[in-house]
Amino acid sequence: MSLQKLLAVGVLVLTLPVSAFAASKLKVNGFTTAGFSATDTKESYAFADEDGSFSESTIMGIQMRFSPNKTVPISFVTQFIARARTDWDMSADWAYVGWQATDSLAVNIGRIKVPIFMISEAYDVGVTYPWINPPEEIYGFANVPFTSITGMSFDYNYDLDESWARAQFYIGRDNIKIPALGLLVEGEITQLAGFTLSWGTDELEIRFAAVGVKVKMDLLDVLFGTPQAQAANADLGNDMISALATLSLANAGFGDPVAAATDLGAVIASAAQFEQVFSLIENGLEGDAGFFSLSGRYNGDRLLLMAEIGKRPVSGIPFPDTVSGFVTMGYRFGKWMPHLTYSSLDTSGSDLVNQSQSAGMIGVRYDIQPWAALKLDIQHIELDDAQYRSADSPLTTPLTSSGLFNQFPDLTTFTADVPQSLNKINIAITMVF
Amino acid sequence: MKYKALTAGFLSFLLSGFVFAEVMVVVSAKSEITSVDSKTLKKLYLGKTKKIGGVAVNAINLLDTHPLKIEFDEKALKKDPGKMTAYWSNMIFTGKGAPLDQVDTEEEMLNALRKDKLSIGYMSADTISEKVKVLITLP
Repeated sequence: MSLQKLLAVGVLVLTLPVSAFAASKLKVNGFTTAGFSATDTKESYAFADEDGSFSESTIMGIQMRFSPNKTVPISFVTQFIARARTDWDMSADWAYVGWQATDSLAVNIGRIKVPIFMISEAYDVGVTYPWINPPEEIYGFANVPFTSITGMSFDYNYDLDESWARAQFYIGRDNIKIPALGLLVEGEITQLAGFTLSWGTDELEIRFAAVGVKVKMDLLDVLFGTPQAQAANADLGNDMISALATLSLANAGFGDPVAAATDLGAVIASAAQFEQVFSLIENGLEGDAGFFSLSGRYNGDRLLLMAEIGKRPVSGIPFPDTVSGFVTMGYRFGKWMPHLTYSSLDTSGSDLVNQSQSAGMIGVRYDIQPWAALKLDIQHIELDDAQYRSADSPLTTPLTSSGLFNQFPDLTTFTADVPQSLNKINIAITMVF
Repeated sequence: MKYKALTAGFLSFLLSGFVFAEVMVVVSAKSEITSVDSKTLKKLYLGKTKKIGGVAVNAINLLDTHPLKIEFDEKALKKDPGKMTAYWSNMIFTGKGAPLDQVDTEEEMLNALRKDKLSIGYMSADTISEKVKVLITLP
């Protein structure tokens, strides 16, 4: 049976009336977060600005698991998530057929979330972590522009005496949208393969993950299709025509030929620069990227410690290499958990994109019920200093950081005029059901 | 029946867990299982295994808000309700495991165990009958 057919059966089964099955065969669970965030900037940062927004953290997810027969270890699982971030476009983040092959091996075929970083798989399930959103520097779209792939995974779980060990291997492909330069660049992951090794006890978990991807995208079409690029191109054309006309008239005796020639020279020079900048970006780009993560989590009776460092080397596409990470410390006082987090993103190796920044956060989580929590996060973010571009770049101005601001850059410098620091507040309620 | 369970729940809430002195882990009287060690019990209720000594079993839970469930989680799994929610949310929503079957009351638990000899559950001394066999008592 082909993968598509198998999935179609799964989806079909799930759309049958619930009452057709005994309660234990079909299990429906869900999660939701409703949040409001605001910054102290006019410019839009991540998904908010000074007017505030409900779209950064507000999501709704529903999962259905159908296990037709207790003695056959096969389940059909679909998880649909609607996010305010993407204008409530519903996405199937998980849609797979799961087969518990042996006590320790589970095989999932279909659409699965890629466990690149420690919280990647549980990214949308707010009750499982202290903050409203996992640190944007490492978990945001700027660092990981995809969440799910269509493919398969092998998941080995071993129970040792007082601890457990887990190994996951997965392969797949997916269509992606990469947010860059304030745009959404469409692309394709033609190949993805990765593995995760983890070991832990009831309270402790240590984890290493590595993923390799091959990417294809049409950056030039997207960039050249923007109103800004079209306007810049039209301006240059008009300037050229009027400079040529002025020069013809001057040559015919109506004006100063030297001044007209100088003007034309200037127009040609700026056209050449425009051309050079766009020559940095080719059409039909193909490249490679890798993702590596080393992380640890200690979740004791009262103390919570989490730390992660991630690395993303990139080649063949004009996106930067990144090093990202975070450290979180929290302490439970009954239903309250205050927590502190430092997170950072360092980008390098690109002549077009600099998003380096770091952030400090103070937050508190209050468990209203075991299944519902109220959260408040306050964050201060600082953008890093400008970087030098490579020696062969046609652009010689320093590449200033635009952090995680969503600003379209000036097309002659590829930098955006954004504040160098900002504060952000986020409040949310999160639940599972 | 429901009223009784609600009253019991309310009382135990008032006395914060002192009403249920003991939680008994039980299977159907017809089950071939005769014992379970605390490690296996923990794995069963954390969704990490579905077997006791090679025999397939189906672990049944009470509702998350049931006082006896909270008591059981604390005694057998050493986890408070908040940690249980976080643990199971992580299992259920990240493709690691299916939620356990749940029943509303101890009486329903008794019925479920009577009907299915592959099931394992827990109840207080008040609900125990000759239809079930006690494997361990959690003090």
